[in-house]
Amino acid sequence: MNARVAPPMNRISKERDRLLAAAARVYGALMTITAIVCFVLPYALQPTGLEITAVGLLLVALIGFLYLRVTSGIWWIIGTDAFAIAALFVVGSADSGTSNSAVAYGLGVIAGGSVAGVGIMLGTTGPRIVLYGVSLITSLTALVVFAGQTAYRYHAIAIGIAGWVFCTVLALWLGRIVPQAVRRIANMSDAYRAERAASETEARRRQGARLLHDTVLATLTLLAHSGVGVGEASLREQAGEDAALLRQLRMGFTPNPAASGEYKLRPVEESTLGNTLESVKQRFRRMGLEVTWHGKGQVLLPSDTLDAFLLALSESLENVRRHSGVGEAHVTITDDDQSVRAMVTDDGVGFSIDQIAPGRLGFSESIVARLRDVGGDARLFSAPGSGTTVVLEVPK
Amino acid sequence: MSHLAPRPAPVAEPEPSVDRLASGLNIAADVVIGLCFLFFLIDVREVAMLPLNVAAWVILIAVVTLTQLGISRRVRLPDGWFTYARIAFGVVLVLDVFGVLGEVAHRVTGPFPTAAMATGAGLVMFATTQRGRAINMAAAALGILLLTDILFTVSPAYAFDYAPGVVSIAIAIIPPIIATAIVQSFRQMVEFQSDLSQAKGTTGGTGVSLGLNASEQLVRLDAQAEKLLDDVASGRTPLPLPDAIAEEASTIATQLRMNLVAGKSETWLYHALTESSVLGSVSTIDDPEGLAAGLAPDQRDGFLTALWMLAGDGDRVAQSLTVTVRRSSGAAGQNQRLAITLELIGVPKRRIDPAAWQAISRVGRYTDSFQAPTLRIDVDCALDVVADR
Repeated sequence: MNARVAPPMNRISKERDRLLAAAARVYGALMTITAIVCFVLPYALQPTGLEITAVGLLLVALIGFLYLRVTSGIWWIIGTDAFAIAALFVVGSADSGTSNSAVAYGLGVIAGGSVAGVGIMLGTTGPRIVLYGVSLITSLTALVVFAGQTAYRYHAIAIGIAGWVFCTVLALWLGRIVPQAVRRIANMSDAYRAERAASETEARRRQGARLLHDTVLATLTLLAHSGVGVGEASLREQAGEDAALLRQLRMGFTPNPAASGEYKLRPVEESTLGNTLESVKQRFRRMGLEVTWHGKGQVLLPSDTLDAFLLALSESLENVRRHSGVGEAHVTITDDDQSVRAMVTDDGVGFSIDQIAPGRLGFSESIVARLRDVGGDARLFSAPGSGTTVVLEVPK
Repeated sequence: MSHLAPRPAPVAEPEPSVDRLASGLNIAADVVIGLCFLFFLIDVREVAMLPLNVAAWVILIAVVTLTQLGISRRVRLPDGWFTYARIAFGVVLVLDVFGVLGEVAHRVTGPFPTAAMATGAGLVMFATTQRGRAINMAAAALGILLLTDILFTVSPAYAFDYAPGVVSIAIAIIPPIIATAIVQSFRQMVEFQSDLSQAKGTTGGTGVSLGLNASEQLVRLDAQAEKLLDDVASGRTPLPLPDAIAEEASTIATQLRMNLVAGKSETWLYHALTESSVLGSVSTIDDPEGLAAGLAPDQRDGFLTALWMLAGDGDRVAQSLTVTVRRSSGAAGQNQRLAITLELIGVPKRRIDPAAWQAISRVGRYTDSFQAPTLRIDVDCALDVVADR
């Protein structure tokens, strides 16, 4: 049903080319401007005609960079490349005799900047790599030949080579990580789909808890009138009942109050444990913990006791899920005349009880305290490497 | 039309972040630093106070090494490292400038403060962790300082020999500028792709659902009600209720009732567009019968891909996007057909990626017309009778 479609190759390569184009645009334009500034310095290039030609060629290349987009065709790229290389040859061949620092540095910047900037767009894929090679060899050879005779040859050649290495690193790296990133994001739509389905299920479950919401709404409406006309004690009691029901709902149970629609509901005296155990199991399965039930399923408990018992049970299972390192837990429910017991066991990593500070794992706070409130208790058994067992006990 | 902030990915595997750019940018930065160091070696015999330059380089290399080890998580750097690094770079700049100062005025071509140049590449290392503005400001400050230095030290007699200075400034400031540009483009790409990916989460299922917004609202209302009731039960709230809390109870009750009674289901298309951070604010859907739910998952996927590529691709988002879905008056006895019309304003036709057309052809046969400023696409879409409706 879920038509999981991997993003097509062209979409991936388009995102990659978009980033390469952005990098090439900024780098190429800034370096070309630098070269132009070098050549328009006074006395940099003689005669003036040569200066105009060189700067003109570079201005065209600059426009080529500024309008470079992912949608620019290969001819746009080749054109920009050609104008930059032409500028390199015009400057280099005409002025090699009387060269000054502006010429030498300018040549280095054209080779390692303007031409190498185009190279960012070329360095990654198939047939373009040929163009990359041609541009690289042509520009660096020209640079060595033309600038090699000047006093500034080391600087100029270093700029050219470093520029090419810089651009190649960027091209290779972007060419590698952008497709990875796009694929990973596309794979996440499955996770989003699962999240959406889970939240939908959750909302349906809550909407389905009609009776519960009816009593909550009735109480809220009373409170909206400041609770006037109802005994304070009974209003507090009712609010407590309803809060407990909502808490159970939140914990993944589907409590069903005995009656609804009018204000003074009978307190939910007794609920069966059985119909809620399955929902606990489902909830933890969704989170990756398989819970197996053993023993008695039908146990009648007063509602506040049931509330505490289920919360403690959930907390225990949550601890297993988080800390045990295993994906399975067993819960054994037993009862006698006075009490109901749940034993939560796992075969996980366990821990040394002495080394766990009191209150760590939320054990004493969220489990023991809650059970003691209703007259119950909890005990914890564990040793490193031999799993953990929690025994929860509440009075009937 | 409400839309939410981008939702965090619900999976253990985190969303790809700009961190992944860091190692490539570090290598690129090292290349530039290497170039500057080469310049230093070339001119090493000509500097006035070599110890100062050496000290500058030692500090720079130490900071760069530490930062790169920190980025690859081999060293834990203190909080606010960027501030310390900027201070260190400032020290490098001062040492280096004074180290070469004595000689510059007498010579034509330098030497130049090479370690100071390299601090620009040092800023590149911070492009993925700091805001682009901070990097660009630091780069601008570096550029201005170097420019001042060069204007003061180069002899006016050799006007054309500003070239090495110009190139030095370029080598210092271009790397950080390009690094921030790349990081920004990468962020945009991740945001756009995540938005699309999230929208595609709607294509499964029956096509009609409550959607994340309504689901989250219900969960939130339940939680608010629980807290309020709990406060009353425990006596934290006095009785009779203060007006403010009574008001709150009334609001929660009303919203809860609406949410429960309405139980309003909307189509996948509605959820995909309204929850999108890219298209949510510009799109309108005209589909009173919820007919979009009839599309098969593959058609939905194609439709969303096309929408995102048409309306949100590239540097700008369309100004407006209208989707109209109607029953098609086809011949009797045929499978049911839908006429879907897309109207986009602010999308030049030549900018559209061919892949968008490919995607929309997965929905059905289409015709398009462009009458500035509106691009209109009509899709004739066959419904699969066995589709889960």
